[in-house]
Amino acid sequence: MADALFTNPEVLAGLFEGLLAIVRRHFAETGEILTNEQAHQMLADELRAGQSDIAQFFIAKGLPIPK
Amino acid sequence: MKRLLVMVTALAAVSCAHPKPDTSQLSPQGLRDYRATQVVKIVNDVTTAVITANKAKQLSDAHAIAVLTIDKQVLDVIEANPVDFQAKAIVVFRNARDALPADVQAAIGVYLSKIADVLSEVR
Repeated sequence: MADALFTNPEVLAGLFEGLLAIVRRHFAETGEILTNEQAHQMLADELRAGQSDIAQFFIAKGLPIPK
Repeated sequence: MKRLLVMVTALAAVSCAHPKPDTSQLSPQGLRDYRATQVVKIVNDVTTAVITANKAKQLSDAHAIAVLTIDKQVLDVIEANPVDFQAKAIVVFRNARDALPADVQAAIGVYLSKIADVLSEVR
């Protein structure tokens, strides 16, 4: 997979275009320059919060948390 | 001199307001995490809206359970596959939605459409 990326200029260009679009959008929305660690932490925090809210709903209703 | 000072100050203000993003700080993994975060944010917004509507008696328990079950399944896919979640998340979402009775799908369609849209938009 890694070899394919670096031998295909079109794939590499597409990857960079997508990367730039994401970073520019985030920067426009927040003024933050996103780092790898920030992106990873954001994902972990959002997942944890979402799973917790769903679990609490089912627990409050006395229902098993769905698989 | 004063005119030069004003120009320099104005230029400095513009460059501070619009510095170029440093793309070298975002690795491909960071980019994938950020894409996954976008989907998870929308799913969590749907979760919040459903719980709020259910508390306000605007959404039945059965319908809330239907949406939240799908939300959890999508989150589980992303948690297990943060790199290549999109294709599997779409399949899981569609299977769960299509398994619901038509009247339930119609009742919760506004929530499901938000998840469908973000899953198809993420690149």
